[in-house]
Amino acid sequence: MVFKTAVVAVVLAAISSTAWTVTTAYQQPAPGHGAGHGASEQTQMQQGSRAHPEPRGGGFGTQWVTRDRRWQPRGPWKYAIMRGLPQLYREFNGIDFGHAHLAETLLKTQDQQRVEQARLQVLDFIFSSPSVPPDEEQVAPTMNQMAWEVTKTFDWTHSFHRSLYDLFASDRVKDKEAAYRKLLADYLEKPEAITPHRLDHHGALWSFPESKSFRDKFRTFNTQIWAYHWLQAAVYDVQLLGDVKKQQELMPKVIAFYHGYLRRPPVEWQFMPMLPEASPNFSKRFPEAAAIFDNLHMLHDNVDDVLSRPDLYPTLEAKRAAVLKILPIYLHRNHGANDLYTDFDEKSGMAMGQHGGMQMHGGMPMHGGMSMMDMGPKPPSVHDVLAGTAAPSDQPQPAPKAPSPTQKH
Amino acid sequence: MTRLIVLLLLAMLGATAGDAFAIDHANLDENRPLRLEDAYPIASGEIAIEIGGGFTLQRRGANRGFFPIEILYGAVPNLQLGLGTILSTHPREIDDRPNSGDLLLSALYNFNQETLTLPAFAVKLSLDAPTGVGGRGFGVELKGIVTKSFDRLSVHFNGAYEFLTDSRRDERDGRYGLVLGASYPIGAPQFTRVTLLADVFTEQSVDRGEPNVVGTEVGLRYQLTPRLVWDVGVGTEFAGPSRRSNFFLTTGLSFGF
Repeated sequence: MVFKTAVVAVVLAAISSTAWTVTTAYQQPAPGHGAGHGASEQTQMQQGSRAHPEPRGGGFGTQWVTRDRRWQPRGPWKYAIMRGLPQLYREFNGIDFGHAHLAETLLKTQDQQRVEQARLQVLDFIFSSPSVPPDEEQVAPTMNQMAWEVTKTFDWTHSFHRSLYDLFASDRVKDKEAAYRKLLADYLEKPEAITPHRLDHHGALWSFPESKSFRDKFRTFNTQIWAYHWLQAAVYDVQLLGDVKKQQELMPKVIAFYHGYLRRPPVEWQFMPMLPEASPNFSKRFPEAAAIFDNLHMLHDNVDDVLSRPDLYPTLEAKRAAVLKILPIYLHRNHGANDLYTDFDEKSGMAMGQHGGMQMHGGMPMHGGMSMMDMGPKPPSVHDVLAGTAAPSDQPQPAPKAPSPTQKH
Repeated sequence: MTRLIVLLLLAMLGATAGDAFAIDHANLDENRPLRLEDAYPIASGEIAIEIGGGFTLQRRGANRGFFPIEILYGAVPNLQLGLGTILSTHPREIDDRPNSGDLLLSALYNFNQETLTLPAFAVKLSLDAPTGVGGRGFGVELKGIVTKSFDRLSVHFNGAYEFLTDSRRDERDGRYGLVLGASYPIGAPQFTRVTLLADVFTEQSVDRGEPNVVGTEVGLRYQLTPRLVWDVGVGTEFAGPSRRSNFFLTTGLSFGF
């Protein structure tokens, strides 16, 4: 009896300790950190780049990090993709390897040939059609030790991604809107969740000193990564077109189109594909998820940019510090009623998640007066792909058409 | 006890037919297949069923087979609860705990993820209830676990002390055990489905005045499917009392759902 009491006491202590950790993650005060810019931030902004903001609302200071691994939420939809769309499931397994292997490679080398070799290893892995997801902790041990905080955000958001694919591939769930709401609420209540607010990807989040470095140094690998993001976005609108049988009928064409991007990465792209472009219907019906996934993909780009600049961040500690200043911008807990990062929100009047806003591409002025930015070719919507009107994916991507003088900017 | 085993088996069958997600095959749990454990629990919300079978060839006394089964639950983040038992042939010839049919309860709490400078730390509390054949007294074990990785090689240390009640006069009423081991993913980064692991261990013998048992084990864990891991391990106790194992083998499966 004494021992049973001791066991219960220890278990309760462990539970209360965990609850405290989660609670404080939400509640840590931020003495001295308001939502405004610090002096160094303002100086760099005046020079054309924006310093990473000091964490607002509690940052990630110490090396003591809780693990907090979470199982994918349960529901009748779970594993529907693996059962009903196994080829797509395997593509996603390949993509998981791609991100992790890239990060670990960039931590060890900036040599063009070695990075290219890593890219080709990723292609080999993807085209091996892996039936089992890779163990990303074993693929990228240094990255995980360096910034487990961002790994937690990636993992939890990837889990949400997979839950939604499963949901829309499940014919057993009739009220998908209700299930979506439940999954979204469950996702957002965790401290590592990404905000469903649309953030300023093209401007504020791509104006850091290291921004665009990965794109400009390793364009082929970067656009290969963006091709993964295009597939991850495009799948949703295919899923909304019908039941699993319909999805099974349509998905091979989309995957084949994606494979074209892998064979010849769309190096003409200047910016990541956005959910509203690749999957317009999903983005209208489920705007929170679309924003979360665009934010997720932008966070990937931010991290890859940091890893691509050893001149700015020469040590693992420096890289960690930079990544952990960027991460809080994305966290849902910092975008509540008292939004701590309003300067990173998408500005009103900007076209939601578009390449340069509606029909504007290629050097058009955008984003509330920020710098001129060549957004390059617009990635196709999946509907263009299914209709056969998209530009071939394994050939140079066509330059964007200049807007006619009558177009309203 | 029979009812408990039937319930566990039914739960396992339910697991194989139900929904699951990718099991963390690199996560090392006691007896799957070695005694070595890492500092990490299963994911919060995950349920795992672990079953196995094996045999030991004794230097003195009857050789016997053993069949462990355990159900694990990630109750809250970083906390893993376990419930299980182990069945053995020749149950009355077992000197050491646990006895065949003992109920085994455990709670493993992980304090942190390892980082660039800090290893991962965990503590595990286990209770061995004397529900099995010849069961007598409780065993309560407190174990500290440390995991530190060097690139893909992870080194694990387990230090435990078991408090025993109702022990005979010639038996110890408490014993320590130490395990030092490592795990490594063969074929990583491109291939991460196989983890090789090995350890050396020592533990105080059951009877007072007898030398420590010292041995070594080696094994592997192979991810068969996203929710199924197969493991196998072999070992020997090369020093210690006369009634020690010359060779033992265990193999098993872990289902996550």
